[in-house]
Amino acid sequence: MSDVHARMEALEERLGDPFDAAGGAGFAAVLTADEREEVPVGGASALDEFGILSEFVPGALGGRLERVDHLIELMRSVYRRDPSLGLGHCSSSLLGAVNVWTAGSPDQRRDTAELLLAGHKVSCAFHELAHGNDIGSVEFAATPAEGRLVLSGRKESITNLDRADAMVFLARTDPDGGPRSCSQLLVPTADLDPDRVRFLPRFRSVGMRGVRLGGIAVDSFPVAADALLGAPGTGLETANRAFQLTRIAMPAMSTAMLDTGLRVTLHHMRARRLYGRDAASIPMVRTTLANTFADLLLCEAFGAVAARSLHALPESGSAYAPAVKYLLAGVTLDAFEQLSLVMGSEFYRRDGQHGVFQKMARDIKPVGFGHIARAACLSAVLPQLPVLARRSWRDAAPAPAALFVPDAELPPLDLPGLRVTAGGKDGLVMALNAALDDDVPAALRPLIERQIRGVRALTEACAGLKPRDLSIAATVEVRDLAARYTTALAAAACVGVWRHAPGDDFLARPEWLVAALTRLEGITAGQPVDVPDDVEGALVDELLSRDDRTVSFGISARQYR
Amino acid sequence: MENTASDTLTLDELERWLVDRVGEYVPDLDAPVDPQQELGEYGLDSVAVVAFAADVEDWLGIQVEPTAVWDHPTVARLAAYLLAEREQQRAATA
Ligand SMILES: Cc1cc2nc3c(=O)[nH]c(=O)nc-3n(C[C@H](O)[C@H](O)[C@H](O)COP(=O)(O)OP(=O)(O)OC[C@H]3O[C@@H](n4cnc5c(N)ncnc54)[C@H](O)[C@@H]3O)c2cc1C
Repeated sequence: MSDVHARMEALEERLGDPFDAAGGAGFAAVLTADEREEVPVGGASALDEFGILSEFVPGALGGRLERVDHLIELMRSVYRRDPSLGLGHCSSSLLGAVNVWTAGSPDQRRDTAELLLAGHKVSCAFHELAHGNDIGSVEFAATPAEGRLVLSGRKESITNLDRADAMVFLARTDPDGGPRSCSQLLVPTADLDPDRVRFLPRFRSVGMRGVRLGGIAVDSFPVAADALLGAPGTGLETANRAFQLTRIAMPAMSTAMLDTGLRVTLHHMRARRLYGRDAASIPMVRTTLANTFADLLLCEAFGAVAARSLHALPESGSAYAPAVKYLLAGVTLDAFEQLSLVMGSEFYRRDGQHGVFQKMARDIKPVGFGHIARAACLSAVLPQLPVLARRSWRDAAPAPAALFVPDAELPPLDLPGLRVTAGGKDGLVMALNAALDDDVPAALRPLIERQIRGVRALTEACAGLKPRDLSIAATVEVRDLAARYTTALAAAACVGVWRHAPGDDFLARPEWLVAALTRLEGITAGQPVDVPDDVEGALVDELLSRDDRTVSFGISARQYR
Repeated sequence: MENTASDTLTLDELERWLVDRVGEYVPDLDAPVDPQQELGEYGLDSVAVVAFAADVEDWLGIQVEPTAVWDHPTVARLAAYLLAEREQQRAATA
């Protein structure tokens, strides 16, 4: 189909103005549906008419997925209106599909593509309540017998299980355990034998109430051996590689919730008069608005750069993906906390003009634990640190400019080509150095220099790590090194985006970068730091102007409906 | 620990190095690592394997994916695999 920017506009057009009380995908409809634990019918059908699931199918298989950064930006149109629609109607199918694109046979890839292109959903049934993030311990078994695989066990808290047309299972194929003990299977729902398969009652949740969280209990149900995705025993490896895409894309799509949270807060403050003045002009309020704007920009900059890195630096995805998930989730969760303080009693309302704020504040929560917990992300990054320090952080090879420039040409996405570890390759973090060669504005130089010194200190600290420090039982202190790496990466992404922004763009100005780097320093220190006084005005002005022009608050500053 | 393996590394030497190295990842062992025993049983989890594989890479001077340790999960099997792999990677670059 048409170019992605035209599709973004077409999607906005279909979904309509979210503040229009009569709109089928507007906040009023979204809230009413949420109270019924549903998604708005009008929004769902608009997405179906648009053919949203085709966006998750690679171009080579007849779909419209070419670039991960474009997919993210497009999906923000959905998440900013209703994250339940975003996850339940759209991106949950991506969770299963990426595994098929990564490890499936040509037939499995074709069948799954056909399903999605026809608007049917694919479920990703990995989770079991008993094991949480410890997915290597799943008990759901696929036992070989007479040339077939016999499935037995339970999966719980899975999106769309009862209305998907195919499901991807993570199953134990070797009872002895170890990293080769699990396999993935692709099973068409139509094949399920109702005598051997029982859907469990729906889970009810605090947020994402419109997402159907189901379960399944399977008792000795045989499937053909060719249901396996890839070779037996490769299930965890495939997940590790395939989920690099989703662990970048899903938190990055979720920043659209913060856009809405910020927009609603801004509307409320602009309309409110307190103590004889506009509430929006109260210094505390202004500072929170500026902080949140900076947070949103830094999250989206990091998300976009990491998404492009899957194309341009695919060897590093195993380090960047958990870093994105960890950092973006943490920053958006904290930002919502701060915004809800500004919203005051209006935050507590489920109805009225601003009622969507509390829904977004609830729906954002799973970004911290769904798909993978923030803590587990640090555990995935940590063992890579010593070798990253040894091999990459001392020399400053320039990062490819295409990482930072929207729509610059990128190599095609090669999911099967992603690696289990980065092998010490990180072409991003030292992009910080490159910025110092230029005429760096005075306000920026010390901030960038401090980041570079931070990476140097991190390099020393990581070089001294002992093998035993790196396991799942790593101390909080050592895990903090992994957290510091995530902020350094985000800083490098922001600096790169600033350096490569066109001259007339807000992103080419130093103010937002001063703000973003200051905020990142606060995150590293574990002590939030407000954006400096001398850039606050520029940020608030830009925010107000974007609100007036109805453009997004993130890095694309894209025209919204 | 020496920094790199010698060119004439034998299977025996490689096994001994791996036994020592695994011992550093899994401290407090009662006895040296048994080359025939699965590494997972010593608690070398899939997370630690990531760093372990990188150490092996540095020492042997070849590329080693962590998945190689998954596919050859005892010291004896891993040593045999690594020695063959080293010869192959060297022949390819010679
Ligand atoms: C809206 C929604 C949709 C979902 N959809 C799906 C789906 O489609 N498919 C699916 O399979 N699942 C799905 N899930 C399940 C989801 O993936 C799980 O809820 C989640 O991954 C399990 O985590 P848990 O909270 O039980 O964490 P646990 O693993 O019990 O973790 C609890 C805590 O232990 C600590 N911890 C855990 N692991 C580590 C580690 N490695 N290192 C250090 N600390 C650690 C952390 O502090 C963590 O927060 C969904 C859940 C929700 C809420």
